[in-house]
Amino acid sequence: MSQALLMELNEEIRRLYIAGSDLAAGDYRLKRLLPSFEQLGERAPVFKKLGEGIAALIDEGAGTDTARRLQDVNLLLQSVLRTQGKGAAEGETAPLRTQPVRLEANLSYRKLSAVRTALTTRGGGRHEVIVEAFREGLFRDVRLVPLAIEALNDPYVEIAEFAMNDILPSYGPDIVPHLLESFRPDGGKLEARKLTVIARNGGKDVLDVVHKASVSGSDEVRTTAIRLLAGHPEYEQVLLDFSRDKKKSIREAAFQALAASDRESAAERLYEAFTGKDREAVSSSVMQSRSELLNGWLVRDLSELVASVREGTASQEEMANVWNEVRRYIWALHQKTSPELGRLYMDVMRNYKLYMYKLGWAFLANEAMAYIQHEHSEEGRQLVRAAVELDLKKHAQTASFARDLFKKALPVLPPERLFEAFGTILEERAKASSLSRSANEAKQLMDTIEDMVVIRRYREIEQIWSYGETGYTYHVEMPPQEELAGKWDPRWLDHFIALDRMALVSAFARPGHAEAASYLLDKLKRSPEFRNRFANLAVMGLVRAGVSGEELHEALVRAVEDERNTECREIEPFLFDQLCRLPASYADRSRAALPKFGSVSGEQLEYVLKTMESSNRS
Amino acid sequence: MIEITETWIDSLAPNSAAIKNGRDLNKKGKFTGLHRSEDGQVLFGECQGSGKTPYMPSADFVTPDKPVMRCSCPSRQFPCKHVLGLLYAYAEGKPFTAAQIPDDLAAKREKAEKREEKKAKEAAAGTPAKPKKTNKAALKKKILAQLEGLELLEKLTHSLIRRGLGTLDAKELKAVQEHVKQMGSHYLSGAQIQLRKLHLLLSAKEDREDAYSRAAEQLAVIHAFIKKGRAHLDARLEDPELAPDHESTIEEWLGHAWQLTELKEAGLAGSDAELIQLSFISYDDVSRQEFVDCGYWMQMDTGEIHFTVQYRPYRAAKLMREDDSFFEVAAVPELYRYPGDLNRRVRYESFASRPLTESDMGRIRRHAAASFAEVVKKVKNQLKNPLGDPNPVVLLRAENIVTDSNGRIFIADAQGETLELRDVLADGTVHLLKYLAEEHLRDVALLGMFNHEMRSGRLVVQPLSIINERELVRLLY
Repeated sequence: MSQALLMELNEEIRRLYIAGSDLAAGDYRLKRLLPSFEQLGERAPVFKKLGEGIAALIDEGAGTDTARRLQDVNLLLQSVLRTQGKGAAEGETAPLRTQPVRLEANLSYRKLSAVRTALTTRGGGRHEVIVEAFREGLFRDVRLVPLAIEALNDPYVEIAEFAMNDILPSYGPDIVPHLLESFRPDGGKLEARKLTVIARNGGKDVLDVVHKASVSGSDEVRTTAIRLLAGHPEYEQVLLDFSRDKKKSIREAAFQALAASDRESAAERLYEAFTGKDREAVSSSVMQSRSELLNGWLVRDLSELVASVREGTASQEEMANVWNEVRRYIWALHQKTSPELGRLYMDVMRNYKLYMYKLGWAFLANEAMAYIQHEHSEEGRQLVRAAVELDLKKHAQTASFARDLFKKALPVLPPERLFEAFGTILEERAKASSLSRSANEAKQLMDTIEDMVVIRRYREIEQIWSYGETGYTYHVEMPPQEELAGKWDPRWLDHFIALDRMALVSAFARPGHAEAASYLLDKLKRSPEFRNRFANLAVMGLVRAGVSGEELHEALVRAVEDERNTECREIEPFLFDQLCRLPASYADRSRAALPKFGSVSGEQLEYVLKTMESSNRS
Repeated sequence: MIEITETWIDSLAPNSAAIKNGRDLNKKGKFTGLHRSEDGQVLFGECQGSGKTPYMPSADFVTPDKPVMRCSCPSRQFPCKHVLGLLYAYAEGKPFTAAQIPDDLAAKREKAEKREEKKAKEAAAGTPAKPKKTNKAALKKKILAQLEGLELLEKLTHSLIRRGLGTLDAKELKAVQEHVKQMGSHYLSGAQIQLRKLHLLLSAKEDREDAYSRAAEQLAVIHAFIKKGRAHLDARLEDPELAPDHESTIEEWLGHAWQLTELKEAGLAGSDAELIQLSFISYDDVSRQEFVDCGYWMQMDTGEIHFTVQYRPYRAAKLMREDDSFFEVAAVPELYRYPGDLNRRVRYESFASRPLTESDMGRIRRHAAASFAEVVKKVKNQLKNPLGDPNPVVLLRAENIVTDSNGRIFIADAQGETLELRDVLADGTVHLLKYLAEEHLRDVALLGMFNHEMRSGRLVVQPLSIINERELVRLLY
């Protein structure tokens, strides 16, 4: 009873602090409280003192002293209230029942706080910290579990998905009750992610929850739940029902779940949708489905469609409709194999002229060719060869001849035949003016070839000159020489030299071809600058040409010494590797050139010198 | 040979970034040389830095308890990442070749040795430390300035109160901030902190109602501080010979920083204490403008709960070593205790450590208070002092952890008395209880932080750590 009175006084005091103590004089609410304090004061001195304080506070003659008087009462009241705190339970209690997660709690503040900050703040670099912490096993600490659950809601999707796919699944079934506790089926993305973890970690026991969520959750949760029901035969009927739902997103989710099933009912439903009104919603699911039954039906239908146009009696409009259908089927069967499909595509190849040129169904013809090339049958090979020969005829003098057709023909035709078919372009170029049509075609062809054999890739490199740190740089890559020798006619190289295409000469250079070697040596002499890509390419070619070590080393060191060779930032990897192989006798000449190289290239050259010197010593 | 563990190196590092940087230097092979002296006392090496010449980090174990770290790099962090990297390389077992100590390092060592010798000689000769002479005139001037500052503070708070907190505008808030600065020039750093706290409460944008209640509480604290401070300073003015008050915390409130020698003179130093850290927390104290690293420790012979505290001012925070949880038993040759109540601040200059064992758990648990009624009495006794620590920390013996129909959680003692568990600090812990197993909930010792919630009139406890027979589960850090 006295605590209630004290709390009431506290409220009044607080009010005066907010309103200003000058309003205390004659305050009727305090006046009303005063008798109770006076009465209690007869037994307890504290109340007497409080009563006196109140009386002084509401005294009209306080003048400017109101603030002090308010502070006095407040100070005493605060002290008294602090002795009145109640901490005990009032009603019935029962032992706390928990859902233990078998984990530890032995990380230090520093370790924990770094991850904690990453999980509870916003900003860059957090993903890395979290992934690293997970790898180190820090999430085995129980104190991070609630934060890992929260992370499902991180605005940075990678973190939310990492929590869903890696962190939370690592806790096993123990985490499920804690997720269920806060799972709200009517929520958004967070709840959908929670449900995903629940389903993955909870096994059979939680299927019922997933089922309920698929019926009564928000759209986001429902579609997730439906997908999670995939692969459980007892819910197949449920999925079949969902596939006839009014909402498209629900039907789509159901189709995806059914695509994981190999049962007849699922195949039938997907087929029905594919041939009915839901063709759009079901297409990606049909593509995913591995059901033999379904794919068998698709091949059967496609075969009929493809055969139906042979007669050539259909109207233009009908043909357009058939073609649209055929395309859908090809997509649905893309990257699938079956004997029937093989037979169908062989049939297409046999009638290549009809489908490719008469009907203009290039998509079908090319898909068939790619499929048959994978099959490696003798008849198939011949049909493909014949098809390409036909293409060569049909496409001569067209813009795609030197580009797309060359790419198509390269794996199909023997080297001599390929050279006969395309080499003439280069021959004619030598005779024609640089503005002619053939000059343009030759350029296209050589660009196409260069794209195939000179590949510049940006990738990781171990910077051995800088303590093996990893860095990134461009690497020039060329196919192995044996591969080129097997697939390409030797005559190409002469054309490339004649037309001065250094990159191609480098790629095709081979031992014993003296002209190529001297061409490349001359190139390196003319453009020795390491800052340009020519020097690296020339050196690659010289190595492929099998130039003797001595000749190569001399050419390299000359290039290093050349006064034009300045302002290089970083030496390209192949060139650097060759420099590292220089014998120690070149040390003095290389050292003299060192001042011309700054930045990374300077460090690289210093490393080269160091290896020379250490090899000298040993 | 010197034995070094990675955990020990981690504990030396000023912060976790330094740990990572040091490890990376070692991992990336930035060390071009790793050596040890012939006698094995000194580790040194060369480490590639951003400059042309490599840095020369070294660790000198001539006094094994107090190794000396040196480095030629310009970093102000101590020890720097190069020294840490050197030690990580050693702990990992990388080969260190025996070599002559470089000249400049040898010269430094010699100088240090001479310094030690000189000190030892002085100690042997028994020259007593010169008694510090206090300049009485200066002290008087300081006290007068402090009194004046208190006057200023009182005037300010009274004008705020008369006007009413509900109608304060930006101009008045600015005046409060001005006064915060002025308290500094009146040697009242304690008042500075309290006034800054008030300023923060008054300028809070969210939850105004709660802010008003807390501002009223804070004004009571300031009022008590002015009254008690004024009385104390008046007494000192009368009698300048008076030693600082080592009974209550008023000196610290007025901004006094205790020297270890002063504590010793006041009889507050004890020898050979064993300490076990039960909990740790680090937080940003905006009203102090400092980061605070605070550890709660049990002194094993008395069972008292002490705390260590390190303040890292914002401006120096990067360069200072961030404290960390401590998992071993610290044997402290000389423990200095600050004036205080249930929990006293303690300091020590050196310690040796040994691993924590299961028998230590038993010793900790024996000190847990069995009767909540008695604990509550002691806690309330402290809480009623407005200048006392409002959040005493106590080790309680919990027979059981129970819950009521509203989902509130309580600990219960053997007599069936209960205390509500509720979060006090910004870092909550109560929600972690539901992940714990039965063995962490029944018959345990629980380190709890008390708090009186003024508006609800509840006295609540936040669980910081739980100790059962086998382990110490840290819910905080």
